[in-house]
Order: sequence, then structure tokens, then C-alpha cells
Amino acid sequence: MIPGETRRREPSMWIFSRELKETTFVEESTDERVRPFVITPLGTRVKRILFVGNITSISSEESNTKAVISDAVGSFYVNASNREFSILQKEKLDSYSQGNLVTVMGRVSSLRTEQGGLYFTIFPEKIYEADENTRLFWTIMTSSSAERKIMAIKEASKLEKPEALSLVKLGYTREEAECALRSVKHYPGADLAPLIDAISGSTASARVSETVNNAKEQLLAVIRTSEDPKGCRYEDILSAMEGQGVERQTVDEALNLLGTEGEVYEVSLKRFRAI
Amino acid sequence: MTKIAEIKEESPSLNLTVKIVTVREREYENDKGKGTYYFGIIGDETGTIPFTAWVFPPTVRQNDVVELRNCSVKAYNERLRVYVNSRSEVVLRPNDTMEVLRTYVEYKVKNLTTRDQYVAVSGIISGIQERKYSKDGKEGIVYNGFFRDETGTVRLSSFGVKLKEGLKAKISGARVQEYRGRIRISVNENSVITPVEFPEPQIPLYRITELANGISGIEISGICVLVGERSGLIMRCPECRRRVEGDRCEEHPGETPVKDLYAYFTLEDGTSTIQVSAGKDAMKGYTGLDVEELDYTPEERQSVSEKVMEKFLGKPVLLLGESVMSGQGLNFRALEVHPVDKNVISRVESLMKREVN
Ligand SMILES: [Zn+2]
Repeated sequence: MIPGETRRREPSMWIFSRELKETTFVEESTDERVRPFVITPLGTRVKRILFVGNITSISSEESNTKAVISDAVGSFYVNASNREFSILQKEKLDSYSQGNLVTVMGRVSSLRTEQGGLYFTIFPEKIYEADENTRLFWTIMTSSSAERKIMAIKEASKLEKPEALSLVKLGYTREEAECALRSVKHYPGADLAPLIDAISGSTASARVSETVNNAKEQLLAVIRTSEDPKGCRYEDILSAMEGQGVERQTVDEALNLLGTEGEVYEVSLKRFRAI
Repeated sequence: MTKIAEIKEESPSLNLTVKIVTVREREYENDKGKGTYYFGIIGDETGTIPFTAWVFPPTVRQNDVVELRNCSVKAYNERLRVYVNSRSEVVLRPNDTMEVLRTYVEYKVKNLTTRDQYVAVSGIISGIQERKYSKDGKEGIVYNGFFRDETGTVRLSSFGVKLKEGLKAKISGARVQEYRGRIRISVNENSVITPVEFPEPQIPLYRITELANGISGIEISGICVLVGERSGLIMRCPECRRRVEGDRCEEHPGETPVKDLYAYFTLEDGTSTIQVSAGKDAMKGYTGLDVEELDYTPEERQSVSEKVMEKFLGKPVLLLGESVMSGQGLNFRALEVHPVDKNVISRVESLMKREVN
């Protein structure tokens, strides 16, 4: 460390799993003990990330716990070991189960296979319980930040000699300008269209699942208040929900979700009861 | 002779007759040694422009009229500026007088910096309070209040010139200063206040990376990623406001410490990170904890601590408050803390849709 320089905590970047998945560039580390930065196709230089997602699978063993946590456009692979520095995170992760929404802050670790493929794992430093608002908030912030980077990249690729200052003058922040330059440098001629498409649909997709999650509560109430001894009929659920302005497709998705989460079970064909 | 209004681009050499509107000096040191340079604003009947003089007769004072021969014009910080260097000649014209047309660069509150000392700003004057003062045997009135536009709020003060509460105005020739990490502006008899019409500004919501100066009346949002362990119920010295660990403040042992409730946390929004402090009013609104109803006992401190962690750690929040420049960089003082709900989400969404330029 340079004398007089105070050590600054590396802030977390908010990126979608898809942006990380399509990353092919890892900086050379000058010090083996220091994890290198990775540079994503959007030029994000990242070592620590923060994301909000849904646990789609989790497997706990004594030595480590692995979880797949999905955002609106893909999944992050999270791994917490029982070693001293990460045991608390492992315990925390073990306290959650499939279907839970969580906020994870963690370090990005990359592994290059012999075939040249690059895989990323997140070692969690903090795990918090999240809710739908947190997820939607994160998705909106993350997608707008990605969209601004994409616009900056388009501007940068128009410039004959791309410079940060020219982009700053167009209204981009210093960080966005530098991301654009890194993208142009490390991913020349890359086709960003699929990534851009995925990101632009992220907020809409987060909103759909939000609707479904809201419907879940209403649906549960409908099933609980049903007095039918043989279980609440699907048709009755549907008409009650439609009466509350919820569409059939949303009802079906919410019903599936409640089934997976074990809140509701099917007594007999198309008859449901709450636990 | 070139007139200032005619200066539209960089130029290697030109001659001007100008009045020194403001001049300040500053020491510098480089490999060739130490020296003094001068900077400020020069003007003529057509306008004003900033200048820097590497060589300057020390006898030249504010309001003097001088002829600047063979000076140059270069852009600095995106603004044109006149440079006087060793090739230039400065001739004092002691018998001349000149009326200067003052022109000011228009600033939004958010972008005010002390680099540009006199500026023009448009916004709403509010919260005006009058106070009598006497200085050098003279009585006067100082008006203190706030000045707000759609980008933020700063403190406003005026010595003598009456400020009208609620007036939407353009202030030309407002002076920019920084005090305790916060930007403030003041008006004097040379400032011109003209009423203007514009829609009522909303409280601006920023991404953390956009914050640059100490201004108030702004909002930020993000997720609390770390909460300071010392957050919670504490005792404070009423004199120096410092936290007291024992019974008494070491520096003010005569004062009886008072209870306070505060949180100190790190907020991130994916664009940057900032340290935030929230005082007792903000805490009461957000956590429901009322410092007046809490007892300073180990049990109560512990339960307050747990409540603070539960309400902040990992939670998304919207903060209303002010950014303050300190030795460690920019901090944020939250006056209100709100959970991120549907309304906040739609505000964040529209902020984010704000187009680049
Ligand atoms: Zn004290």
C-alpha cells in the first residue's frame, strides 16, 4: 500500500448473471493471493458483486453448500465452504431453502477449464433475506445501469480515438465512460445483441413474477376460506381470483409456485387445500 | 483591441483593455521553484471572463483598469480563460474608469463549486429568517434561508439585501462558498435578483455516482450493505456532540451527556458507495424507536442494536438528506429514511429512464 493512502473498500457492482456468464476476459493478477478483476462484455471491471435472486436449487454438504440463485435473466452459482472465513456464510446459506429470495454480496471467482471455457462462482460475503420490492428495485437499478453502459459502448465505438472525456461530455459518468472503453478494448467486434435483448427484458420479467407473487397471497386466502370439505375446486379458485382481477395464466403460475413451495397440495384432481 | 464579448474561441495572442473585477493570488511550487500567480475575473462594457496571470504587477488592484497586450485565450475546465504570461505586457491606466457588464455562468445548484466564485442561479427562495447584527459599529440585517432548484438545495444568506420568501428568482452574481463541507451562496448589493417563472421543482433523486458536492434537499436510494457496530443508542456530549463512552466527556466534564439514537451505514446502489449517518428523527420515522422513550441500559442498548440491524442490514432504502464533503470524501446525512416500496420503485424507474443528454 502506498503510504498515506487509505484503503478503500471495493464497492460491489450490480450486474446480471448473464453479463457475468458471457465474460471471457480476466485481468492478470500481479499477486497470487489477490483475486483478479474480471472484465465483462459491458466493460464492468468487477471483483465484488451484489445481486438479488431466487434460490432455484441448494445442496448442502458438510464441507460446502452450493446454491443456484436466479435473477431475471439467468443464474449465479454460489458456493460457501465450511472453512473458517466462510463458515458463517455457509450457515446462513443453509438456513434458506429453494424458493427463498435472497440478496447476496460476494466475490467473483473464475475457473478456466482445459478446453478454455470460463466459469464463475460467487463466494458469498453477506447473505440477506430479500423480498419482492428488493428484487424489483435491484432489477431496475441493474438493468438501467447496464443500458447506460450499452449506450456508452455504442457511442465509444463510433469514435475514431475513444477517450473517456469525450463520453463524459456526452453526459456519461466517468465510470460508464471507462466501462465503454474497456468493452471496446477487450471485446472488439463482439456481438452484444443477445445480451442486450436479455437485459432489456429483465424488468418486465421481474414484474411478471412480482404479479405472480402478489397473486400467491390472494390465492392462499381463497383456498383457506373455502368451506368445501373435499378441497377447494380449481373452477372456484379461478372465478374468485378473476373476480379480483387476476388473469388465469397468473393464477396457474401462482398455484404451481404454491405447490412447489409446499404451501398448497392437491387433495384430488383439481381440488386444493392449504397446509 | 478585442472586446470580451468577441472572445469566442482559443487564441494565441490578443490585446484587451479591461477592469480587474476580482483578483486573488496563490503560491505555487514546481521544479523551477516557488512563485505566486494571480487569478480572478476581468471585464469590460461587453462582459466578463476569468483570467490567470503567471506574471502580474503586484501594484494592480481590484477595480483598476489595465491594458493587457499579447495575452492568450485557452479553454480550461471547458471554459475560456485569459492567460497573462511572460510574453504579455500589463499596462496600468490609472486615470481610466470603466463600466463592466457583469456576466455570470448559469449553474444548477448541484454543480456549484467554489472554483467559480460568482455565478447565476435560478430557483426558489425559502425558509428566510431575519437577524439583526452589528459589525464595526454599524447595524444591519442578515437574511438566512435556502435556495432550491430541481437539482438540490443550498443555504442562502444576504447581508442587507432583503430576500422575499417563496420568490422564484434568478440571482446573478451570487457568491459561492463552502462551509463545513457544504456549498452555500450569498447575495450582496452587487447581485441582481430578478423574478422568473418555472414549474415547482421536485426533490431530485440521484444515483450515488452523480453526487459531487455538499448540497441538501436531495434523495438517494440503495441497499445497506454494512451497518456500523456502534449504531444504536448512545450518549453524546451536548457541547461537542461527540460520543461519550464513560460518564463524562473528557473535554467537557461539566456537561451532562444526553441520549441519542443514530445509525451509521454503507449504502450501495451499483453505481458507487457512500457512508450514511441517520440521526434520531430519521430513526424514529423509520424504525419507530423514540430516543425519549428508551433507557440507556445494557439490555435496552442491545435490543435497540438488534432492531437497527434488522431494519437496515441488507435492506433497500430511500434517503432524503444532504451530501457533505469530509476528509474521507463525500458522506450523506439522512434526515428521512424510507423503505423501498412501490412508489419509490416507480420513482427510481423514471429517474433511470432519464436519457443521457
Ligand atoms: Zn464534549
